[in-house]
Amino acid sequence: MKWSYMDHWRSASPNGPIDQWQTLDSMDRFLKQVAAVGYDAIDTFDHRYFQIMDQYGSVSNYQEFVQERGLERIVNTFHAAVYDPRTYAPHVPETHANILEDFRVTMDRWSGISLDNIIVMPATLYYDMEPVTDDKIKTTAELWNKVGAITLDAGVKLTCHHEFFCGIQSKHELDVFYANTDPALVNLFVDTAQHCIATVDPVDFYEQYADRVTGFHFKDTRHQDLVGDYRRRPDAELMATTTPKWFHEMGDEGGLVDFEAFMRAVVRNGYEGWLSVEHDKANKLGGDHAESTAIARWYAKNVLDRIVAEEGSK
Amino acid sequence: MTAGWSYALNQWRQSPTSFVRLEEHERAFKTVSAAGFRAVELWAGTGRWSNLGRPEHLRLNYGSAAGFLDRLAECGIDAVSSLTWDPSAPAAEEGFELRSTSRPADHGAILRAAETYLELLSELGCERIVVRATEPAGRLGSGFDAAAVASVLDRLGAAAQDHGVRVAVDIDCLSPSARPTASRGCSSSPTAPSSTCRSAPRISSWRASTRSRSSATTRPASGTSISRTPTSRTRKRATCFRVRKSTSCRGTRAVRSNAGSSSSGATPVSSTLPLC
Repeated sequence: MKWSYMDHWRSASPNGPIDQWQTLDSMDRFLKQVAAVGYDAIDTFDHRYFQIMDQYGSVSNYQEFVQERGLERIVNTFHAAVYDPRTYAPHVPETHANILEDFRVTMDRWSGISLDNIIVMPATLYYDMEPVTDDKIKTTAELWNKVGAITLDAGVKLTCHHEFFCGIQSKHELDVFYANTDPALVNLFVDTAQHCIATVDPVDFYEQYADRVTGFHFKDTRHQDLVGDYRRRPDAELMATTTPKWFHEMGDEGGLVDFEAFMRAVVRNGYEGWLSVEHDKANKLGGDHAESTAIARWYAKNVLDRIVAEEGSK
Repeated sequence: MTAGWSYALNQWRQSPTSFVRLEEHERAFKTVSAAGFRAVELWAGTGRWSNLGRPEHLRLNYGSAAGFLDRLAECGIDAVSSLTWDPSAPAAEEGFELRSTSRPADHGAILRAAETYLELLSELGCERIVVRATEPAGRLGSGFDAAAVASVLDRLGAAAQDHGVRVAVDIDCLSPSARPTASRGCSSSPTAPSSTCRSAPRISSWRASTRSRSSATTRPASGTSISRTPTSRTRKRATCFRVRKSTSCRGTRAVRSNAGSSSSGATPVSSTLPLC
């Protein structure tokens, strides 16, 4: 099992909080910290392309910069699209041409390196898709089948990451979506915390779709959304009444995800691929990205690795 | 004239996902109030995390512009002094277009985008929109067109006046027109006549253009004013004064107000921490 770190990061600077893309020096420090605590690779967002071009000249140059600091490569990119029902919305057929062209451009931009997955949130914000009907989900599935063909042609798997506030997040919505997408073209990326918040048991869900899973975000949460925060405008996650901070490191004292059971399921299903750790907004309420990243790695090394060994020996 | 002090709230937004929750706004308003400021400056933004930077989100979160003013009042803030807006910044709500004030083909889109903010400012009783004159020199390359910039700012000034709002032009350190003096071997005096400066054509042609449809010694009919310090003439048109101490730029930059005034008779003064 190899671990990759999804590159959310903030650190202090004389000019206030910065992310690692601020300068080459801040990127250097970020990558060395990730490597030092034992991660093997990183994931990133593909909208960083423009900064990469400005600062490194090409995507492959940036990957070399990563490799020179002891990390194997860039494993996945997250395609964080800004959905807009007028121009870019998977459930709106009139916008599909725009979306398909966006993926052709994106895959071309990243063609200089070998990626495992391009990760998408496959639906708009929930409130932009309401009422969420089976027909809208089927329209959405048709789009992603076409996008999956584009990405696969570029040698990259399309995989879907369901935020708790996206238009496809309940168990029924998920089942309709995966029943209408082609397993050869559309894969699943299980974010343990997001499904847990949406009251979908991540272990059961993973077991059901294990043959379609091409990656994970390992992170924990202390809360489920039981009050309809997923529909809150304009931002469901950040303005939720349930909690101002949804995400915590795996193994968190108050965490709801059963990572031991989850990892046993991963091994039992013969998963072969990278495992990604994500700390979305770890710096909220006094948190610290560097510390969270180290703590998660400690848990993987001292708890999950033991489970992998135990389960593998059965 | 009595000066009033305002504080620019962009200081609180240290990352794209910070300063989104309403309780964070409340703490900022109370902090500003406790420090003796009586007004706040908003800034234009984009996306669902920009709760004070998008008019639709501000109304959604506070019920209406009046609801926002009520919340400010409860926290001890009397007014919204101004709103800063960069027409060249891409906004999701406007299709992520990279607009340029130097490009006449973009002027229609810029004016349409401004309308959203002018309506809000009118509802808020805010008399001033601070408009970044141009995108950074690095992005513009050789495309800077002072006459085109002046033209759209004049049209913007006229549109603003229809809403009871004045346009204050913000020329920042990245602007292609921001360094006509020191960098070209001219006098560094902030009040030196532009005619003494060899590089004057940039800023002075702009100034001349924006003056062309209005009196040079009184408030321009268009409502456009220039918030920069190079000449005593521009001082007559300044409507606000941004004070910021910068650790990366040299010195403190300021634009003095001696013209416009708020409804209370005080001219708000905005203070921000480093933006350069």
